[in-house]
Amino acid sequence: MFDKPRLSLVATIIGMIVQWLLAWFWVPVDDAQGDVYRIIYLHVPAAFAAFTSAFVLAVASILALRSPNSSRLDLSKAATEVGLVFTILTLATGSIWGKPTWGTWWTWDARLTTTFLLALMYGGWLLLHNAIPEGPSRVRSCSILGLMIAVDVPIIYKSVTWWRTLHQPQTILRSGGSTMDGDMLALLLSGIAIMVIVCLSMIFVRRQNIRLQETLEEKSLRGVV
Amino acid sequence: MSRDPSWLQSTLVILRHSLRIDIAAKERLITPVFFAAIILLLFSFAIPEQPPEIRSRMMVAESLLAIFFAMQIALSRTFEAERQDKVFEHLRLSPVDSTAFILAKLLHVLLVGSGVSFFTLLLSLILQGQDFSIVTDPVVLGGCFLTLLGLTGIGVLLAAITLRADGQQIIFPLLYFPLSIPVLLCASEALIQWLDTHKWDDTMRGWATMLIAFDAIYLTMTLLLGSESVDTDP
Repeated sequence: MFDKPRLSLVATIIGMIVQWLLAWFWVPVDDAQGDVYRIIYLHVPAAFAAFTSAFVLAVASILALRSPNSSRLDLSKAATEVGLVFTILTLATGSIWGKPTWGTWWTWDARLTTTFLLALMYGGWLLLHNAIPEGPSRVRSCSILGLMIAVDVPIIYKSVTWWRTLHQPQTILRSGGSTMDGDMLALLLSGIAIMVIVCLSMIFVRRQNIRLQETLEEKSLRGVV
Repeated sequence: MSRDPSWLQSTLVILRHSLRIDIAAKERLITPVFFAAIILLLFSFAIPEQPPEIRSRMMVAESLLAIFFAMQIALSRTFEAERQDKVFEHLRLSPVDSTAFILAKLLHVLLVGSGVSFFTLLLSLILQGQDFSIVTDPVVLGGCFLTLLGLTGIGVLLAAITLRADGQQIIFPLLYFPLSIPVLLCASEALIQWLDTHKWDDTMRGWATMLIAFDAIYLTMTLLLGSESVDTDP
């Protein structure tokens, strides 16, 4: 009934629900922020999933550029769609978290702006893909843009260090160790791992769907279906 | 029998050809200049007299904004003549290297952009009542040139990859806007810092380094990948 990517997707979604339940009932309340900080268990893993999609997009783009006559962009398209979903999720959860802690839904802070730019570029990739007819030209143009999107990820990650921001500085990967409580950190890291696997599974399932759709369209054109 | 032109010769021939087209069709040069002038005039009419320290910041902000939009107009037309004349189809048959073609286009936009930027800076100085020595300050000129280099680098690459897109007029600014933000942000912070303090301190060095880093990334990507996108399908 389920193939491997779908099975891993179902398994990790169950893992994700368990992680959220632990985030809600098991980890202690934050001294400064109270219960509102618990959104971190969705916000941070979603951001890492968006970055993972950009990484997959970069790898797929390099592979596509290495075979110039290829006309397939299924993996890149799947990574971009999934990346866009996770970037929007990151922005939405960040905004919900920002209202009680910063007093505003949105501010043109460096981290927020660069993440918003990532969402725009993912959207731009999908627009570009639809605007160019199928063929090597489309593969080349979209692959180049895919590499440019990947360049934005380190900028987002380092933005809190490079610019004066309202967003909190790095708390997990920083020199001198994490500033988080052990239980909180362990659950957050497991949440990131689970969300990255969910993201990869979604990309591969979506890629299968795109291939299936293309096969059906080819067959329908040849009058087989 | 004619010899194949060298890489540098090809670049120079294409650059000269592009400049001739611009001079022949004057509106290609006038439109960005006119657009930049309108932005600066609107700013000076809309914003009342400010204290001197704010005026230098205003000058940086309005100049960069005017240059950004003027460049967007110039860049969106970069490959217009070639597309109309089906040059890309001929490039497959000719001995011209497509990297030489991209480099020529980059230099062409950089030259046009330098002219527009210098005019913008001068007009902004007049409208904001600033000292004319700013135009001879090597740090200000260097900062403006690096900004232009970054905007041109990313703009030419995007113009090349959106070349065959149906809605190029929509997709180009949509992609150009987010990718040019880091360049504009670094440039404005560095220039404001310099005009405020005239000191080459850590903050100034940080912004300048970041601006150079973005320029290097964008130019490398354009020269490495730009030629890929102008090649036609077999």
